[in-house]
Amino acid sequence: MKNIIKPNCFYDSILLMQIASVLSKQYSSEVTLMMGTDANKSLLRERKMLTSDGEKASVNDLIICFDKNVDEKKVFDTIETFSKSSSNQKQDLIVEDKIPQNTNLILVSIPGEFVFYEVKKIIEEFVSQGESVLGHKLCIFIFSDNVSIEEEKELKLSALKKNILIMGPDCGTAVVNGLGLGFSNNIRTIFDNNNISKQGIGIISAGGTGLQAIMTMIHNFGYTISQAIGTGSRDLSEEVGGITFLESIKYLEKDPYTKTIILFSKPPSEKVVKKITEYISKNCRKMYVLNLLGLNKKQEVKNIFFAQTMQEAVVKAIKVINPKFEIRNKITVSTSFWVNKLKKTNRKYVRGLFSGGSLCEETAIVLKKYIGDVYSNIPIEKNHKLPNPWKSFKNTIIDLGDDIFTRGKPHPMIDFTFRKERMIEESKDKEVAIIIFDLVLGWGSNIEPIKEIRDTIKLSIKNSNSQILFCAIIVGTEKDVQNYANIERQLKKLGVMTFNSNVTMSEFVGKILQDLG
Amino acid sequence: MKQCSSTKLKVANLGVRWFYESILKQKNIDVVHINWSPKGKTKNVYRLLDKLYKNKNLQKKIDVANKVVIDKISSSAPFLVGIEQAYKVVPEMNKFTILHAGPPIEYEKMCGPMKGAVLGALMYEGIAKDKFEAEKIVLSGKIKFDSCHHHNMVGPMAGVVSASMPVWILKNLTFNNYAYTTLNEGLGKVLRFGAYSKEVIKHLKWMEEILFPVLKKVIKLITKKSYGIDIKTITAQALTMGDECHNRNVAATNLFLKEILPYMIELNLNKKIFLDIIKFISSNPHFYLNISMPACKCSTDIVEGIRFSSVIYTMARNGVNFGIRVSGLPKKWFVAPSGMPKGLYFSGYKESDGNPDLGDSTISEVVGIGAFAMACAPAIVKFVGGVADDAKKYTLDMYKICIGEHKNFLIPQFNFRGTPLGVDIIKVLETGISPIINTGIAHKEPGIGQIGAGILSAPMECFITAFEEFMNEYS
Repeated sequence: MKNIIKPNCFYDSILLMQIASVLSKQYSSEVTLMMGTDANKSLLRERKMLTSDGEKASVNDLIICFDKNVDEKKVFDTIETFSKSSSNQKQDLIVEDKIPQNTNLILVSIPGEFVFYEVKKIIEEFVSQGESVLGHKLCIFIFSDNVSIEEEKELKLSALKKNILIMGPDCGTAVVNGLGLGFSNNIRTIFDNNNISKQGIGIISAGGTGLQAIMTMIHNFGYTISQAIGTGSRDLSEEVGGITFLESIKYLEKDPYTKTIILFSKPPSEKVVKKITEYISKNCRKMYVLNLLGLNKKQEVKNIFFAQTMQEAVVKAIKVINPKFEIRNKITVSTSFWVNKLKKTNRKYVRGLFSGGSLCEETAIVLKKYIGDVYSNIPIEKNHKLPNPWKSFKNTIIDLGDDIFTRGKPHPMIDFTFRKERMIEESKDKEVAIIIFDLVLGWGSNIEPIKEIRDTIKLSIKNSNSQILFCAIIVGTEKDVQNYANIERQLKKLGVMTFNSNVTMSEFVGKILQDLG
Repeated sequence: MKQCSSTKLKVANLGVRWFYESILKQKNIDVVHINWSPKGKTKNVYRLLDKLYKNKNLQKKIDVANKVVIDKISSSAPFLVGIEQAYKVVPEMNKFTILHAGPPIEYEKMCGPMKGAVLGALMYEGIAKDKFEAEKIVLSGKIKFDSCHHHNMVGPMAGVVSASMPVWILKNLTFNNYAYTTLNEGLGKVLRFGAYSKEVIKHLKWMEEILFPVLKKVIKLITKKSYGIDIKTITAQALTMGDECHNRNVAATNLFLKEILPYMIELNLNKKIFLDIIKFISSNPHFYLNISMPACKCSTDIVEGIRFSSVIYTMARNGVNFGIRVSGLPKKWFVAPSGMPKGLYFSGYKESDGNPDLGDSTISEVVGIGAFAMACAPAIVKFVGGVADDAKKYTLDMYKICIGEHKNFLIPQFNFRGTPLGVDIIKVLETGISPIINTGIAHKEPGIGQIGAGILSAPMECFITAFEEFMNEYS
């Protein structure tokens, strides 16, 4: 391993990933580029990619990791040209040194280790000037992860005192006043110019893809979203105590354009859930639908519904607006065709390759009802944790967005590399009956997912002599750049069964596996 | 119910530019991208700064101490009061002592030019007859090495000082302390750039045997009538004449020559000696640097150990490391690897021939001249291929990291605003701006000499370690 240092510069992580892929192609070997922050250095050290030269790098130095000898100057030139060309394309880039005074929404995606003090400074120095957003003088959307839970709590508490709403850290998605932030879909909102609907559904979510799945489902059923607020993945933990959830509830309860509210979270703290439900039943009059993964079914009280899945939550919320609403497209294809086909082989397991954690967890919850044990790198029960996340075992559902796969890499919604490798590996396993995966569309996701994955699917089908069933859940809308219908058509052409609901897909798969015994 | 009236979003993007672009793609939103980088700060620096902001009492004490420091520096009155051989005046100096520029360093670790200068100095002293013998003596451990800065001295470039070398004696009349520097040898192949050929040694001998006695008599005549030559006034005047008194000393050298000329005539010197000396001084535009440097040194030694002060009183380089010392943390060096100056090279040389940053002359920037007074010397920016406006920018940037302004060093084009004075390590870390430095560039091999001149910023790392130690000491 060789490290080259480019001193006194700063590039953002996404630009570096783009440059890394250009250089990797150029030198046909993996090249990694990272700023010399403590967190990045320890990551490179772990991966045995940091040399003594790299150790000396400071936060202002770029570390370039190569496994061969290359011409330093040529590499620097590539970086220069690339960063210049990407800035030339966007001539409308308005760059400021300081946050303008009347700002009311700030997006933060700086390296996690700097988030606490930078955001704290923003909070301390903030003087309200502009109009409020989401009932607060300022909203701060923190995309960065790698922020400690103590820091998160302190930030949220100090923000509260100044009427500032913090979405995040580790907040992937939100739609605020009709504007999609982070990984987000083009959905119908009450802010659309031609929207005739008077009221919409508000969403508060601790999960990014969970939020995307919920809002696209609402859109695809023909209904409208008022606001979709991301809270960061740990907001309902005992330490943070649901600060952002409560603040958002207070706003949406008062918001005249919000009819009903869906709350979504990955496994939360029971204590905090109690606090939230008590608050709602005491202070709120609107209907709240809670889909809290891993939470045991609660008795429904007053204006709170508990839903087991995102789909159930969406249906219940829509029913508040339209009591006659029913899902029409339940499973139309019979499972028996595949059961009979698979019975002739030794194939009996499912392998799930997800880019979204919420979708992964929801799948595991549904499958459990049909087949019992489901293994995962993010299991719902601790004893089902895969000892080696790189190797599947029996029925396995993988979250490829997990830290171990993404550190220093683009998210699997953008970069399909791991997923492609894993799909081919799974397709060679003679015991695998079904491979399921998600395709998340929208801003931030891969622009041409089919082009990216087509050959892999073809090869995987070939590897299994067409014996394996491929299923995909598509999260997206017809307004997304990738276009839902277009993606669906192309997947079908490749021989992949497509679903617009993750629960439907999971139930379908569960039934087949159950019948296979 | 009427159409939902959306509150107007005013968005700022801090971090990845992709977020900014994805917002532009969606709709016509008022959005700006913020130019962000950690500015050299580690997470620990962020943490300590936060700790400092919470401690108002400490902040107050630091403010008071820093004011004291710049007042003392600004009110110093350095006068040239004498010239003498080093061993006679410099503290703890004997035949086997060799002083060098920058933070302390062992011979084995010295850079090429400094090693060359050490060998040359031993030949000049007659301790060794050639470089091989000189090296043998050094390796035998017979020679004691130390930083100039530990002996009230400063040395340009390699800064090598041996016992017999004549040194200027500067006295700070306000505080009655002294500082010393050798005489400037001229440009090209000279000892301070690591050259040690026969001509170099011969020239040093001429300085000791011919130049020194004359200058000694001159200064004696002057000190009979006055305290000596007021160096602060010459510097202040030169700043209004296009010098910054570090890398450009043309005006100051002429002003100095004008001061001593009547006394030289009064001495009735032999005509050849008289001409040689005048030619030597007037052909060397940096002659004044070696008088300005000790003037700066005696104006800063007095602020060593002002409790709670976060202002630096030393910046110096030994060609391997860059070191700073902080007033409130007396005598401690905080070092980081020396950087490479960006600049112009004499024909036939290129950047890869250059030695990393070297010399004690950065004492100039510590008292607000040199690169800090660049706005006075627009001609200097040609070293870095810049334009005259860049000179202003360099000075304006330095105000952002300084406590105050010099009372006497004024910048005409800024309406006689004082030069930025008193680099605060806290401000350096807050702004991510590190002090800028003008410097000469030595060839990295010993014996070759100066190959260019340029500009660079002090390394951030030494400010980080100094600040960590500062907070350790005072919070």
